[in-house]
Amino acid sequence: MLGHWAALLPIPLPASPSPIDATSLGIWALQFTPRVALVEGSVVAEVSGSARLFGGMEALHSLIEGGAAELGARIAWAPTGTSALALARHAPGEAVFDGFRAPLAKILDPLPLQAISAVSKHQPTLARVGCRTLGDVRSLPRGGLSRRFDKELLAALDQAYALRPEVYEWISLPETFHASLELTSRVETAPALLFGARRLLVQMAGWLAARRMGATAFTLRWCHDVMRAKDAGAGGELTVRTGQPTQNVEHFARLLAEHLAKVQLAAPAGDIELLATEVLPIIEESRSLIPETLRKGANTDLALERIQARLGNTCVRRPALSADHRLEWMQSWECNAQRKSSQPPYELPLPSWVLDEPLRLMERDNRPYYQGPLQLLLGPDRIEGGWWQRSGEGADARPLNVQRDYWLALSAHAGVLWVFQQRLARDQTAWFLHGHFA
Amino acid sequence: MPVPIPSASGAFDPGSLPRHVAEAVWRGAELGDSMSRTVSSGFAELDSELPGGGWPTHSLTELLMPQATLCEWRLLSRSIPSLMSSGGRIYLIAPPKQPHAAGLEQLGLNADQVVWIHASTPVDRLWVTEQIVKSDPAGAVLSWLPQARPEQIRRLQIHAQSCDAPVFLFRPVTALTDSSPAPLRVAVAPANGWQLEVRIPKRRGASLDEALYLAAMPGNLESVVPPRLKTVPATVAALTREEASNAWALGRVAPHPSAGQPVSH
Repeated sequence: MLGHWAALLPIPLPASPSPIDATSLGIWALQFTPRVALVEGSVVAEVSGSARLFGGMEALHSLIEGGAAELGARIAWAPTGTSALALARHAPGEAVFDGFRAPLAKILDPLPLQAISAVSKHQPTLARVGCRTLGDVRSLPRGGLSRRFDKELLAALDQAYALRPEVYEWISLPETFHASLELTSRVETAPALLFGARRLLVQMAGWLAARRMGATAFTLRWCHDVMRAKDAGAGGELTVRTGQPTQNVEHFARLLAEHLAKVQLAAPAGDIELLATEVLPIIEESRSLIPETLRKGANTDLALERIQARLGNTCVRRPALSADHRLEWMQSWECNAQRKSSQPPYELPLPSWVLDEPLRLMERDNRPYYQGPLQLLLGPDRIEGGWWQRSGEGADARPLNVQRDYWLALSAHAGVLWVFQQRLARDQTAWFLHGHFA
Repeated sequence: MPVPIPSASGAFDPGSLPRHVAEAVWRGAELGDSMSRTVSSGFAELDSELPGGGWPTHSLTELLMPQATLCEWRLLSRSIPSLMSSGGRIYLIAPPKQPHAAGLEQLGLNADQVVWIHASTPVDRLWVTEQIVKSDPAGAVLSWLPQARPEQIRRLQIHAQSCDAPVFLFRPVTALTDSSPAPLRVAVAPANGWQLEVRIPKRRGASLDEALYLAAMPGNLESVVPPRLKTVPATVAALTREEASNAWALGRVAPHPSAGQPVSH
């Protein structure tokens, strides 16, 4: 009958005037255990079955307490749900109260009558017989109590002191996630929205963890204040995408910060709302004893996503090779990674750096010059073709045909170079630098 | 039998230290030892001069060159493929020219594992490098930082201490006039022929005064360059330079027999 109960009581945070509503708090708590119930505007959760999954009761305690501090909730631990709730409401002082540090009766007895709502209903009568605390009520004769008061009082007392089983209606998890928040003050710059949005992100991560899903896209909406310019509109929204489904609050918050840094609010915002727009099943990390080394690159993928969020999608590039003889069209750089089709390697040597545009070289006495005279070592490697491809559409498109003799050249200062001579170009014949064997 | 007493009365004899003390003593003339894992550079002469016998991890390595895209891969292409064999990736941060993936494949670097991160401003380059180094990537990090200040390098060095991959910063050789918090600084320049001239201005341990000459022909040229040319360029390069200076003096350029040779497909 004795369990391990947590009671979460919403309290206002400095970031927001209104405390979190109990339903959202309950949904967040569902990630730790399926036994979560809403009682009188608070949340009680029984977690004794989840201790092993989260690596022991101590680890679970610190996880729940950390989350509760971020969402704005007082928390108390006790062997029964009713007593946990009573302690969360009326325990002296600190934000976290552990009801396991002394026998339950010793902790509950000094609490005032308001701690248990079934008892506080009869507070005027009880006060007149001289009862100030729960301990006073408990020491009255049981027979007299059940005759003079309703049976709920005795039942609630017995449940609190773990003499009778408790019955709760467990809540279930919604299919979709959306949460909203009213900000303390009107926010005029987009990055400041992040302070409020963080609480919503923690809630979303809780919902995702409970559903065993990861988000690949989430949307932050903000409503403009009523005192706004006519052309500002009612609000705006921002959708953030991630490469891999994830539940990581820190990663969400960093991505959102990078995106919000580019947003200009049309008017001050008063309310924000968060939606999980796209979710996918997530492959969770194994919590085995032996540490896994395979997931080492995971952090780097998150870092690459942050870089893309700040510098633009096109700045992280992966090569895609294609079957072409011409150096320019042999490869292209793309922002999203994809597997290439396997191709036979090109037989002749290729440079490790190429120039975006071939650089026309000066000539002296029919020999190319680049930082001094070039010594031609090997060649010619003749590359021809490209008549099938044109540079764009329309009248000014020109065929991307090349007729080149490539030479391996050595320069005293610039190292080993890949130069070519334009063929069949009449007076356009010239030498060009195209790559470096660095 | 008299027992030697290690007391303050006897003269201090550095030759007869207790064994565990003697092992911990580092002498100024010796090469320092690396605390962390090192990656062999692929050149035996260079490995013997680098602390720990290779490129360090958990630390920065500065490579100083007279110009960018001069001999990066000739120096590194022997060590990097071993890092990529276990699925690591190579991060090229703000290289001054476009890398050619097919050419890199010929050097043994799988194109799927190459990531090019383009950043234009010096601030962005530093930020990207810091983000990547902080995330403890598998593989190697190559970053081109032509305009970094010592305090910025120090910040990177602190992050690099928790990074289990070698981090190479490419900087111009003129940066040698400034101090740098990087524990290893290596200046590289092409020497005569196919050789690389490598100097180590800073390392843990005694400084290296003379230059090393490494035979570093680009990996994909070894099969196509005929034996005759494997030695020729040294003399010819010297010859052409001489010729050019004479030519300037004479006011005309002597016709030069092309040393070229056709390649068979």
